[in-house]
Amino acid sequence: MQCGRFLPEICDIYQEIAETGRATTEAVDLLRRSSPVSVPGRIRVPTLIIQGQRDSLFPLSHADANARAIAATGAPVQIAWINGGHDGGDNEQDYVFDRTTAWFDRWLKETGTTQGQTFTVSRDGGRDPGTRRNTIVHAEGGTYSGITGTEETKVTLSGPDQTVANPPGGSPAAFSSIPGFGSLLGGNNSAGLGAALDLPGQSAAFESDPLPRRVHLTGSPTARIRVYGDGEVTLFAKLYDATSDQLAVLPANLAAPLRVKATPAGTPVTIALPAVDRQIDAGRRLRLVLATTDLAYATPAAPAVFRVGLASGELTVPTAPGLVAPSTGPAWWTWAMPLAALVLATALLLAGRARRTATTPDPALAETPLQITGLTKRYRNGEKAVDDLSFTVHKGQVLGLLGPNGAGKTTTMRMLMGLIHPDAGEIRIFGDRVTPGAPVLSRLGSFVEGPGFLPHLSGQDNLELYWRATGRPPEDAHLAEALEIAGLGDAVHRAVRTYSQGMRQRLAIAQAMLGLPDLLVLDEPTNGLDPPQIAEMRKVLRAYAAKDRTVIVSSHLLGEVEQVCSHVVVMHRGRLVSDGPVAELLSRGHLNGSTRLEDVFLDLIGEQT
Amino acid sequence: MTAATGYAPRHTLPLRVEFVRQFRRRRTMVMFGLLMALPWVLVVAFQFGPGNNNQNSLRLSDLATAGGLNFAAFALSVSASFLLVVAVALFCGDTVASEASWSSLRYLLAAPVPRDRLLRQKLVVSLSYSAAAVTVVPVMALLAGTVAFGWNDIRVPGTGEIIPAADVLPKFAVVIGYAMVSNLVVAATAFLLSVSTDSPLGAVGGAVGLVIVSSILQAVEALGSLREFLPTFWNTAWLDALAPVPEYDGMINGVAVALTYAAILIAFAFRRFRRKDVVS
Repeated sequence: MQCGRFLPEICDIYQEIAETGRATTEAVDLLRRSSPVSVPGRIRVPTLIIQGQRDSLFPLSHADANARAIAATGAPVQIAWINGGHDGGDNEQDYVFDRTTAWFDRWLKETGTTQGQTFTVSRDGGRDPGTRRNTIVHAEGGTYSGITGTEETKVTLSGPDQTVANPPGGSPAAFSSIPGFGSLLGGNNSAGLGAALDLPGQSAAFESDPLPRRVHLTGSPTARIRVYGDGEVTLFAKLYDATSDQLAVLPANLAAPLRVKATPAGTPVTIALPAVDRQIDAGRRLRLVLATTDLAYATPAAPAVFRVGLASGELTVPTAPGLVAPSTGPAWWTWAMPLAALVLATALLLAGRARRTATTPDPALAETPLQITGLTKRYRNGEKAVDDLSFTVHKGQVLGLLGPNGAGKTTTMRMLMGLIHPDAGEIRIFGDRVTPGAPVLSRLGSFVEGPGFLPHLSGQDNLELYWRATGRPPEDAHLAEALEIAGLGDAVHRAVRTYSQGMRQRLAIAQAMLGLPDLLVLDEPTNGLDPPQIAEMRKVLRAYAAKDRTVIVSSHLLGEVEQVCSHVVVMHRGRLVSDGPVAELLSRGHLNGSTRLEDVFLDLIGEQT
Repeated sequence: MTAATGYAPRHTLPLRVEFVRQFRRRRTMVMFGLLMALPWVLVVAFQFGPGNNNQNSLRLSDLATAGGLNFAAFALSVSASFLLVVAVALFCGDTVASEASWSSLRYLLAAPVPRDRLLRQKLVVSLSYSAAAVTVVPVMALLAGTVAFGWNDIRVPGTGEIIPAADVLPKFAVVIGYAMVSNLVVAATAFLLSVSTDSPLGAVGGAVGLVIVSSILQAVEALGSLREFLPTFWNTAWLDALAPVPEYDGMINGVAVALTYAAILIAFAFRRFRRKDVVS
């Protein structure tokens, strides 16, 4: 025989009792001598009792007896009902370790200050929000309510007297749990929702109506029954948490065994059901079952029949409303973190703002539409897209910004619009330095690198909403004139996504002209237009500048510039190559023997024909 | 005269204009259509689907047909984890990036709408659309559920207790408010991505991706209490508000985490947009 850690004499009496099913007097004496019950009033040290709720070998009632005996001496006692036990569940090793260490620190080392509550019960804490797995919370109470509870709830049970039979040899047997294994029917989880099985003919059941409200059972419920018959009967009492259709739950899979001397007149018995802690929800029923067999116990072999009925319909359910899971309360970071984040966010925003340098307008340039000084912008790879560019544009000019693709025309225009930050130099429009969102940009109309419209809106809606986005008065928009320039006809009411490239281009130029800005910047305005439209556009641009306004047109087409512009700035590889009236440029070309702008241009950028 | 007559930075891009610009978009309409149709689709599914006769089950999904309020809670629980995330990510992630992809951003900036103001107006409008998206599902579900299953008191999932409908309505407002706040992280992430990329789908997908990664991480128990700082960890905490004894700790934590992330991400969005070279 394997006796494990047991003394040989304990092992011997265990075998003897297991064979006969009855304890001898010697065995009882031996067990009594080994139990704290043999030293009443002599355990006077501070005691922490940790007992598992899922334990059919050492149930909570044992811990209760110890706690009462020790507390009677005046020694401080704390009791913790943890989730696990010999029958399974979660043994909460970390929690047990912490509690015990704190207890020893307090009473042996005398350093610890944190002391647990007098009574702690591990309960189902619902699901972890992240893992959706069951968690355990520790309900605490300042006083130990014992297994009889601090309050009682009466629940009425009903049911007729029922006949129960003890099968010959005690087999087959009903099933609640196997000590050390728990429920074999599955559901052996930390919430203690094990299933159990009763056999028809061997069990009597009495049930309550659905509970009108939730009851939290903490302790050992009691009920009174009568047993009719002749001779001794072994019964196993269980209290189920049941509904009509689902499998009933036997809390902690515990059954209370009892022996009754049955009489034909009926022997009244008060049953103390196993002590458990369980919340019985509203709408559930309590079901008291009395079975003649249980797999975990040896039962009489002789077949016999008894009758079981209720002596009183009243089931006493102990409760301990003083036990509450501490509301952990918001952690310190709950308040600190958002505040810190707000401070950090404010700091981030203010630090970003500090980069803005105050610029003072230059009154001497108030009538100069554009002055660019030493403008430089590098690509990310360090290559210069615009290199030390300087030129000035005066009122009434139509300036051509001329250069091959990649000369830096578009980058210059982007800087002009405040879209990209120059690395060096500055741009002044009417004396005001251009920065992102500078108010003076409201005097600039621009069309750079293609149109930009909301494709789901019509052309007209796009222009109207764009103007409303500028926040300026509607009458300043001159929408009708702009739409006339766009020349879209009825198409203006169609969604922009249906437009051709040329239509979008014209609409974009019209948008640039909204509000008739003092300075109009157009990037390749004639791309995608057909010859009559190009001719029309030239007229529009010349007429626009004639009213003391200024137009800047970029192009890589020489003929374009020659026909539209009064002045020209030639760029090549980011640098200014030439700057002056078109006529002057042509006359310089004349010296080289050619009046064709193309030759002059190629000459300027250093590539000979 | 430094600016054109009638120009004032604080009048640029009025909220009304931005609302109209966004509202007429097909994806806005489709998203709202979907959100409003979802509760009715669910009603039809419950009415005609194979019946669940498990009348005593206390799961949220089995209690959905117990009444309008139960149904609304169910509809919110099934849509909050993904559909509403996508809706919020769409409204906040699309807002700046789509302007960049249409090239209309540069014309707004050159109008000029000051960059901070442009971002602020866009943020207000996209957060309003997000809030509307989060509200429309439970409100429509309440309507659909009441029409289909009647105006009944709420049956609490898990315990089966009954709470009178009138008591639950204010809590329902709390739940909707919490759903909005917990989606702030998604909104702020999408917004930051929106100012960082020219691809609207990239911004929306990035924000949804963050939620997916966070949900995966929160299932890793080894992370311990670190998980509490994951942006999605507290997303289901609103269920506590519908319990018979409402618990607000989880929701308060959730609000704290959401506000923290949102404040920092939005600050980064503004900072980044201010310094950005707009080349789209």
